[in-house]
Parts: sequence; C-alpha cells; structure tokens
Amino acid sequence: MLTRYQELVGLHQDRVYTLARALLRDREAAADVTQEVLIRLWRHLPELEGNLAAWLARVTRNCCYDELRRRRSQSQALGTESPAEVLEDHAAHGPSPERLASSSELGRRLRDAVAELGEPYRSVILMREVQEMKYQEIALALEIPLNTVKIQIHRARRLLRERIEEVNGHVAVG
Amino acid sequence: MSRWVDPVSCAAVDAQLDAYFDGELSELDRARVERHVAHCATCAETLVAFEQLGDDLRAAYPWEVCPPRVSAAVLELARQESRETATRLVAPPRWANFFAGLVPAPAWRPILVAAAAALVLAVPLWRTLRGTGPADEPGAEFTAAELAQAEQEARLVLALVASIGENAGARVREEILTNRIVEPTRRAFGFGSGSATATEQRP
Repeated sequence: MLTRYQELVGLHQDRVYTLARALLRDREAAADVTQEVLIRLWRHLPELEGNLAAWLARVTRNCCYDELRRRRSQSQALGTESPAEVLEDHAAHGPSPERLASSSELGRRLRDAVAELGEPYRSVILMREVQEMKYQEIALALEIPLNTVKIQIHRARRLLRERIEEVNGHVAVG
Repeated sequence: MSRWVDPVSCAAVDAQLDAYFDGELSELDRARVERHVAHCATCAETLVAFEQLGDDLRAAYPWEVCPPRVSAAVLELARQESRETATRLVAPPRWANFFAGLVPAPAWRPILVAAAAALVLAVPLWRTLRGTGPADEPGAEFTAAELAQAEQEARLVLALVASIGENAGARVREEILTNRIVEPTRRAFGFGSGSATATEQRP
C-alpha cells in the first residue's frame, strides 16, 4: 500500500496544490492544505473507490473551506456559513499583495473576475479550465447533479466574458 | 441557388456549446452542433472566445509545483504508520503475553526443550511398552511406515511446542531441537535418524 501511495502522491500533489492555491491565494496555506489532503488520502486509501481526482478535488475544497473558517474564527465568532459562502466571502476581500505583484495585468484582471464570480461558479470553472476535470468528476467533487455542472459552466463562462469585457471597456475609456 | 437554412437555432446550440467545446456531448449532438457552427459565424466566434478564455485562465492559474517539504512530510508519516502497523500484526497475542508475564521468557526455554525431548522420546517408547504392533514380538523390526508415523508425530509435537514457546516470547527453533536434542536421543536409544526410511533393528 505504501508503494501505491507514493505513486499517487507523485501523481496528484501538484494538482491538489494548484487548486488550493487558486482558492486560497496563499502559498503557505496552500502547502498546508495539500499536506492535510494527502494525509487524508493515506488514511482513506484502503477504502477509496471511484474517481480519485473527484475525491481529491472535494477534499481540497473542503480543507480550503476549513482553513478559511479557522482564520475567520480567530478574529470573530464562528459563523454558520456554508463552504460556498466562506469561499465567496474570502474572494470578496481586496486583492492580496501576492496577487497585486503577480505576473501580468491580464492575469490579474482575470483572477479578479474569477474571484468576483462567487461560488459555485468559481470552483466549477477552476476545476474545468485549470484542473481540466470532466463534468462527471466535477459533479462528484461538488456533489451536485451532472446537469447542474453543465449549467454552471455555461453560466460561469458567460459571466467571465462579460466581466472581462467590462474591465477592458473601462480601461479603454480611462 | 437556395441559401442553407439550419433548422437548429443559435439559442438551442448556445445551450450546448460549452459541452461541445469540452467534449462532453453525445455523437449525435456533437454532429448537430458542428453542422450549425460550420454555417454560423456568431457561434464559431463564441468557440474561439472559449478557447482564448481557457488559455488565459490556465496562464492566470499556472500549474504549480508542490513544495518538496509536503511530500517528504506525508511520505514519512505513511512509512512510520506502516511500520507501526507491521509491528502490531506480528506482536504475540494477548494470551501469550499473559503466560509470558507469569513466567519470564528465559525460564521457559529449558522447560520447553525438556518437554519436547520427553514427548519425542515418549512416542516410540509408548508404542514399545504398549505391546501393540510388530515391535512387541522378539526380533521384530520397525517397519518404514511405523518409523515414518513416529517421526511425523514427533514433528507435530515439536511444532506445537515451538509455537507455544514462540508465542510466549521464547525463541525455540525446530532445527536446534532436532539437531541437538531429538536426533542424539534417538541415536542413543537406537531409533536411528529421524529421516530414516529403511527398516531398523529395535534395541
């Protein structure tokens, strides 16, 4: 089992880290979440069945949610928000210093637009475009019907295009 | 020349355009969308925009390499837990610990050795004294079958004693018992070697 686990860690650690980084926008926190996800993979490996990519994406998203809740609980009373609400609230905060110092202007605008999408569109579009997951995997990861995934991807792409066009329009006018 | 008119509207295709772009449509639906896109500039442009959006998103969220400390930490934990699990699996059962607690392991060894030797000797002696079979007649010989059976019984007793000793924490190795106790005893009493197959004279 140890050999199989080593192979799985090698195969999936970057995928988990990339998703955690996209959701948390923090390298250290993303590394901690990745470690937590991979430990859970080890503990659940004997009974794991089905799609591993979907399982990892679901656990990663939940761990990111736990991390954000933990941060918030340090400064205020623990709320009862859903994972989507916590992730959305996190994204609604201003751009992080890391993001401001990021590579390209287009990339920054795009990340802003994705952050403003809100949940579940943000998770869905990141899983589809960045993680390159199939619709069925996204449905399993988010525990939603397949048809809902189709609708949310459709909606997310159009919202993103609108936001980017708006920003580009403002920039052009300004 | 009549103009080609697509029976499927842009609105109907637009609802399926994402799934088409992502390769998630059935063959039938894919063919229908392809026919429409081939003649519809608006839907074709949307597909190009999807392609661009995907490229931009992947550039905005590049594939990150996980810090090595993460895999090092989780693999170390997994190795440690594997070792602990292996130790638990080979640990003696609780009842063996109970006996081992009553008598310290080293004290078991001479008892076990003596018990093994006594049992091995007892088998042919018992057969002789019992007066059954060809061995009780003057001049009679042990047959190869009898010797083989006696040896089999002795080995079973040895295996049982060794197993009990092992579980109790005493390391009783069969070859040591066989080579140092059983075989010399058999030879001394004239039973020959444990692997004898030929008919031998009784003492």
